Amino acid sequence: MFDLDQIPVPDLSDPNFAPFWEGTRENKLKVQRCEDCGTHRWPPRLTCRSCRSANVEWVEVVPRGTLYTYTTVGRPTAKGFSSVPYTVGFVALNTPANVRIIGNVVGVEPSQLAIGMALEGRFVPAGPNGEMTLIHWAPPSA
Amino acid sequence: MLGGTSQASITGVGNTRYSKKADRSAERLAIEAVLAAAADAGIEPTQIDGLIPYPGHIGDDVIQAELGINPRFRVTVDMGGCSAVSALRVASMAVMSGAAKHVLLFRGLKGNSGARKADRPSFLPGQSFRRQLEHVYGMNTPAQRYAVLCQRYKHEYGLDRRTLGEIALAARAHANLNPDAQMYGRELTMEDYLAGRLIADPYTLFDCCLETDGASAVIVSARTESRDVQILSVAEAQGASPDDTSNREPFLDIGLTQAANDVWNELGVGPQDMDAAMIYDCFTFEVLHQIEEAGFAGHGEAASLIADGGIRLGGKLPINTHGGMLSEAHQAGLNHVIEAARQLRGECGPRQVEDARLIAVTGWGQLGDGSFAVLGARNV
Repeated sequence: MFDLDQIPVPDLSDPNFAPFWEGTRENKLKVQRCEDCGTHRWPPRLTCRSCRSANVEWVEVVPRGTLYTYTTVGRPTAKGFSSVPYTVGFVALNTPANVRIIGNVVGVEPSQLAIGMALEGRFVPAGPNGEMTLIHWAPPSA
Repeated sequence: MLGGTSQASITGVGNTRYSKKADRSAERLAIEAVLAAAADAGIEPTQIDGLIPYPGHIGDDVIQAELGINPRFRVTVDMGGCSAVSALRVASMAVMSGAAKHVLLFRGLKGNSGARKADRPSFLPGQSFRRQLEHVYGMNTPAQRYAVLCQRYKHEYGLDRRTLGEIALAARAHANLNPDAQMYGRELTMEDYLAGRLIADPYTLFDCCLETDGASAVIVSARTESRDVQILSVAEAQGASPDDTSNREPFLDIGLTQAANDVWNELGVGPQDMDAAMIYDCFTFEVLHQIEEAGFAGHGEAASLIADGGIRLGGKLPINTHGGMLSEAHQAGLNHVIEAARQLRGECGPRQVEDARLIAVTGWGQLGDGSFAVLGARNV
């Protein structure tokens, strides 16, 4: 479905994202949490919006959530995505509830997609040499 | 009397005919539009002393060199589709402060036959978010980014495809009264609309705006002659996280929400006082979305305004009487300003809104920047 080896690899050493990519490589979803006030935040930022602290830690969260919104793409526009249709979704995590993660939704016919459906993350190596691990979201297997 | 004798006005507007493939260069198109606007304002091009170019289009250096303009004021307003309306305010401030007498806003691009949107440099904020979080999942076009907003709205409030279809059809019907429009002479039926191929669900072909070869120009001056259109109030604002939509809360909040509110409060008029609205229509749903965010209808209630010809000429609130970006041209919103000015001068012939005195114009750009203006006829 996806040409995983052709998806352009972003700068995995970007300090704002490196801990995230190191996490997915170990099949872990990590997001930022303020070390001072404990507020989770995503996408990654330098400063906590709640208390302005720059002290941050990356914490593992459970890759389960619900579909918040999505689009099924009918016209190829991106490298690595020559076969259509495919779906991009925003997944609202169960915990912490204030974080939404972007990813491809798989294992569901486009006509069966529904906002609010339960999804869980699967870790999928991609890039020419499998150097990055992406997260795809599918209905829970059990 | 809303305005006054000391007021910034739109004094000149001009544009080329819009097409899929122009037979001359983008530079030449831009020069033609600027010359037309200067003639419309009754000034020599060399009297233009302020320039507000638009990133990615023909630059001010070309216009300066070709027309012998020596600007005393030059600034870029880099807010994507929000820029045209936001620049009206910057231009107003410039002419009212005396920094310049005649400020030119212009667009010029071979946006269809030249490099298409997806192949041109992106000016979106948060480029690392785009690369790290979106491109790796095949999300890299405006249609996809805007589709997720529409999809969420549909979930929260319900939305019939035919409502979006009517937005596309109304735009096309208006464009068919506008010989400059790219889609002039090309009818669009609901059957055509419903048969449009999938672009990014819920968007199909006719939900998406055009890409255009063409140019347009607007001149703002501190002048209040009889044909001059009053810039009564302009405001701008941004969404809660201007570089990211995925985690924005409230998700459907956009800069326009605040900008429109600011303008209504400043002027002491409201949505019910507008004779027409020019709404930045990059996608059909964004017309509906902005109808609600600007206060023309409550949340979840725009469909009833759109039904039964409500946004067509002769309806409750005629919207985009030129055909908008869906059917006139993509000029990053400057064509919406031009149409409002022409309507307020009563020059629109078969598509004239009867006795148009007050018209609202919106801008929508980047990932949530919004701008809002109310323009007035001289006699308001």
